[in-house]
Amino acid sequence: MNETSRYWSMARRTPINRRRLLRAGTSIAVGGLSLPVLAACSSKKSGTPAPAVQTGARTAATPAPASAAKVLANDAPIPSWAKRLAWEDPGPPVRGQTIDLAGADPVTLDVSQSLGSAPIRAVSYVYEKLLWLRGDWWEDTAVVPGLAQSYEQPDNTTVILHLRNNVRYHNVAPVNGRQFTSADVGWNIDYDQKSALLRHWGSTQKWSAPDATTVRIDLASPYSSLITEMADVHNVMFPREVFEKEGNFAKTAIGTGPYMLDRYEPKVQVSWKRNPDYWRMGTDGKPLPYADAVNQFIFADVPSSIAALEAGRLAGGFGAGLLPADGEPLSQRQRNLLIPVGPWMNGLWMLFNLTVPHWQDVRVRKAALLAMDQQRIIDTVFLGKGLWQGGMPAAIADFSWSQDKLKQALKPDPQKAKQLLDAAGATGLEVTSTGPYNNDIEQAGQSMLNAVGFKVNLNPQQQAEHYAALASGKFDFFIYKVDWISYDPDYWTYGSFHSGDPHNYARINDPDLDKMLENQRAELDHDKRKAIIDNILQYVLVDKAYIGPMPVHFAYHPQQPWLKNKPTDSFSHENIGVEHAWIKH
Amino acid sequence: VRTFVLGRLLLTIPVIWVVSVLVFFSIRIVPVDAVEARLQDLGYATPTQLAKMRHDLGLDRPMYEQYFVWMRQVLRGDLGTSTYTGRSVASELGKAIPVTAELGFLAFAISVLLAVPIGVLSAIRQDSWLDYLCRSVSIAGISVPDFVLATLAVILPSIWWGYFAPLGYTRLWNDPARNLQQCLPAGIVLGIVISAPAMRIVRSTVLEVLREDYIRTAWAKGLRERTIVARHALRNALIPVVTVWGNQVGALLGGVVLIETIFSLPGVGRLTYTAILERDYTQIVATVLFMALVYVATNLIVDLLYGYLDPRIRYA
Repeated sequence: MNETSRYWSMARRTPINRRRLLRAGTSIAVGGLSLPVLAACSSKKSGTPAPAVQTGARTAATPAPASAAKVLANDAPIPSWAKRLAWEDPGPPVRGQTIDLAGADPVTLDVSQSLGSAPIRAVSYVYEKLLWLRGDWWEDTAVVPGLAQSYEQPDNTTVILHLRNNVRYHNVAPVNGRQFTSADVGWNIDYDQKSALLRHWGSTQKWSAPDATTVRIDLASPYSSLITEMADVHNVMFPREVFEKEGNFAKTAIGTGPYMLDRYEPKVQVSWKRNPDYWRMGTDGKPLPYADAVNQFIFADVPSSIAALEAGRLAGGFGAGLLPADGEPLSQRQRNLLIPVGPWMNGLWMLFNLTVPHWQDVRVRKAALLAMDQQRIIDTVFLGKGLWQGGMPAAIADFSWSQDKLKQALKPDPQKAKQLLDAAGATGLEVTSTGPYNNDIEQAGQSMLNAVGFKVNLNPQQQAEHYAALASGKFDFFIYKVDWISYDPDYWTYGSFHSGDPHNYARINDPDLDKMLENQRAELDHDKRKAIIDNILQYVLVDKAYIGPMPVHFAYHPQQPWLKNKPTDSFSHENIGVEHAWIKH
Repeated sequence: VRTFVLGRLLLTIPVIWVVSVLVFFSIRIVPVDAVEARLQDLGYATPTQLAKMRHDLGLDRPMYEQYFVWMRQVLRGDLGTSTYTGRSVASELGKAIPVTAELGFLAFAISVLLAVPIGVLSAIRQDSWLDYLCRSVSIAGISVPDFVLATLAVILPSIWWGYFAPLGYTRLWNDPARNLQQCLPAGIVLGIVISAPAMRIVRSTVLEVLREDYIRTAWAKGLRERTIVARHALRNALIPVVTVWGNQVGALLGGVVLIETIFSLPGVGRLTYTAILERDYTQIVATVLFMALVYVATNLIVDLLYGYLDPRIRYA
């Protein structure tokens, strides 16, 4: 167990006075009004005939020193992680049921055109990835087999994937249940590389398909994130026929997953029906999934979805989790619910716009960092349910700094902050925060910055306005919430701070930092890469104070006790493991 | 009457045109355009990509030109496609209207059922404890915001009795019982909200009518209280009440935006709410125009009702 594991907790009921007061007060006023409401994987060698070799050649790959080959273990019928995070039921499995979950409106089903969480949740049963991160949970990000049963890295610029030979696309036109092969992987690599939004395949120069179940990927330069990128939530294996027919994947979702899209009714629900030809087997020797159908009901209002859960209408499905303000009272009054609690998989920063003159002075940025007391924000805004965080989400436990190190490195020092601001001639500096995320955090930040000599104006923006400002660079600073996710440290380093990356919203332009970022990307040795990333975090957070890290709250993932063997939803936004679940009251 | 109705219908045309101009241009003046709003989902896009998206949607043209293009489409019966979802605006509106229409009908029915008896009771028992209670209920109804009432109506039954309406949305004609379970709570909340001011108007107008000479005459004739109130007082008291209800359509159309969101109903209100957040220009203009039409039509009906309720009124 690492040091952050102690934060795992299961909810226990304790009485709360606020709710009792609410009950008493409102029962007189509106209790009567509520009455009418009541009235009313296999061997590596394929048995499938090999098609002609297909390639997506660009230029020749450069050989690099050999590294050890990695072969993934075969998967068990119910993964170990499912047992750990779900209400266990040894079976026999119950088939033929419908599972109702909460959800958001995806608007589009094309996850290659949208990095939002709602579309990926809507199609996470339909599409599958080559690899998965086991448990999709912060302390368990080991790579496990998906559509690829194993992979090898014969050298630093070559990856060979071995695909399963028993995977078929859904038996729906225009794909009609054909086999998933290495050519599909190649098509998806090409599609990804042509996409303006996706960027999973790094420096891939060439792919080839020697047979139906083998894909060879040649890179122009070593890319340490390639394996985890294959497990990224958006790196799904689309069927090319849909694109060829419709030009996108917005309306038709056909994949290899356990469920087929049945109905999408905007603002109401998304429904799936069982894929009878799914490749993975259940404990009863028949193909998964166990449940015949899954419905995801679209709620625009969080309290309404919690009410539906409490009334037993919903089995779970709270995606990225509830905030402490919602999750904590729920965990206190509903002892029967399973409510795993873990850090929200996201980054929160004070994002300084480095093209604005006053933020170009390192003393001003450091003053802002030293003013910020993460513990105070955790205690006041997150109800004590949160973690200190650096540039990297605490959930990426392997690469992020430990809590002790963060508390030491980012220890608030208002006196020193005042001195730095004074030395920069910036005492009384008027700055404007346009953060859309959380007024409480913005106000806490405002109070702390004002206390050391800043004069902070809060000018909250709507989400749409906020993203437009990010893209255009027309902002001063704000508390920045990263709205899409990645488990890979490259995203949180190169993808956030490199001068050539479009996500470098702070507009950092530092050749020394760029060099370090490029080095971590090319370093395949885990320990060496970790050391480089440590140096990057030290440089970005402490030496240069390019961003001002903020704490992260815990996320609450409630689900019903009668939903068996469904691993909890996590920061991944995916409704993972529903194919293993059944309902048993 | 026919001339009156025809004249009013003709007047509707400039009203709707003015509304279309105001909405069309004002939504384009608001910071963040329809393309930038898509960054919420896209994550990022280069200026070139944004420019291409603007070109594809015709947003790179001058505003007046966009308006004429849109107007030409509308006159051909095409409300266009959503700038956010790419779906047909008319189709989205067509799916949402029955939901809001049902909700509006329920709300008005509940409003009448609450406001008239309570208002009359309050008037005929003036200054009694019953009057004070009814007035307090009315004031509470006006004071408590609709979203608070709606949130409580959703949350408290689930906490107290483990009750929540069936999930999703079922059309009335598919399963009336299930549909009512989904719509009635929202209708009740909305009904309470619009009945509160009506209660006060009913009370004051009934009080006023009860002091009229002809009511005194009715008493002198020895008629029963029930007959006097129901037959002689109420009908005459209803004229200002009808006016208030007509105006309450505006409150109702505003109320459905939040009520439908809280009760997860896919009506015009929720469509408007999401369209505004998504800067869905075509959808916003279409839904607001629809609301304006409903408001204008309701006021016409109210005017016609005056003639029915008061034979002295003649239409010129």
